[in-house]
Amino acid sequence: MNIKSYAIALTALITLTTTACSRKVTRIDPGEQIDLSGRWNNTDSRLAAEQLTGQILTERWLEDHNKEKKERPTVIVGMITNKSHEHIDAETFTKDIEQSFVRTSTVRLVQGGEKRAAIRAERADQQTNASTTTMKQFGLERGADYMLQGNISSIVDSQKRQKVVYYQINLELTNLETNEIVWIGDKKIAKYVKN
Amino acid sequence: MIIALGTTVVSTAQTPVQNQNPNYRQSKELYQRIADSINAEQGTTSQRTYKAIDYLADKAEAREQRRADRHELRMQRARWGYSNWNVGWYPSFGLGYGWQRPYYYRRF
Repeated sequence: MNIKSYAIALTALITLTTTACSRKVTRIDPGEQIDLSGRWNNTDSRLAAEQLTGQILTERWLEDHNKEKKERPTVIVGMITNKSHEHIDAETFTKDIEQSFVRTSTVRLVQGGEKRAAIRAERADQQTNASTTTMKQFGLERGADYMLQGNISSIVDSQKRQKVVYYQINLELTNLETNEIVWIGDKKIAKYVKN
Repeated sequence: MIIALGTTVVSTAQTPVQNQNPNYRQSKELYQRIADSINAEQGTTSQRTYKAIDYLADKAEAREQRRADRHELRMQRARWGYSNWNVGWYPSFGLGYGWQRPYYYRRF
C-alpha cells in the first residue's frame, strides 16, 4: 500500500468519524409549537395551563367568595387523575395555575401532600433545635377553603396510518366544608395525526 | 381545679354548629384515621392510563415482540445447542426441563 492509499483511507476515516456522530442540539422557545409524534407535548400543557388559568381567575366563584367571606379564598391542590392512554404529568400545567394564584394575589395557596409533610417535619425539628424567638408554632396553619382536583381523559380513533386523538382536561374546585363544586374548568384538545 | 379542667375540656371540644348532622363524629373519626395516606397524594398525578387501539403502535409492538422472541431463541440455541427435535428451546440431552413438560408444550 503506497502513501496515497494511506492518505485516502485516513481522510475517509476522519470524515466518517466526524460526520457519523454529529448530533445537533439547539435551544428553542418553550412557547414554540413543535409536534413530532402527535403525543401529548409541551404545547398541549401550555394551552391547558393558559385556558384553565384564564377560566379559574375570572369566573364567578371568586367574586361570590369575596362577597360572602370578605377575604381572598384559600385553595389547596389535590390529586389529578390521568385516565388517558399516555403518561401525562399534570404538574406541568397545575404549577402554572398555582403560579398565577400567587402572582395575581387573588387566591391564597396552601401547601399539600409530601411538601406539607416536609414543612411540618421542619417545624417539628425547630421545636428542639431553633431558638425560642424563631421557633414556629404548630396549629397555626391556614385551612383551605377549596380543593382543586381534576382528571385527564382521552379518546383515540385510529385507522391504518391515520389517527385522531382527543384529550379533555377537567379541573374542579370544591368547597371543603359544604362539598359543593363551585367551579369546573376544561380544556379540549383534538389532534389529527397522519403517519 | 375541677372547674378549670372542665373549662379547658369545653373550650377544646368542637361545639356543633347549626344544622350539623349529630352523627358527624363517626365520619370525622373514620377520615382522621386515613387522612395521612390520602393526603400524601395531594399535588400529584395518579396514572390510570389505558391501552388505546392504535394500528401502528400495535404493529410496532408485535415487531418488537418477534425480535425479542428471535433473540431468546438464539440465546437458547447458544446455550443448549441446536436440535431439530425440540428447536433448541429445551436441552436435547439429559433430564432437562423440556423432558418434564408434557409433549403438547414442546415446540416441534
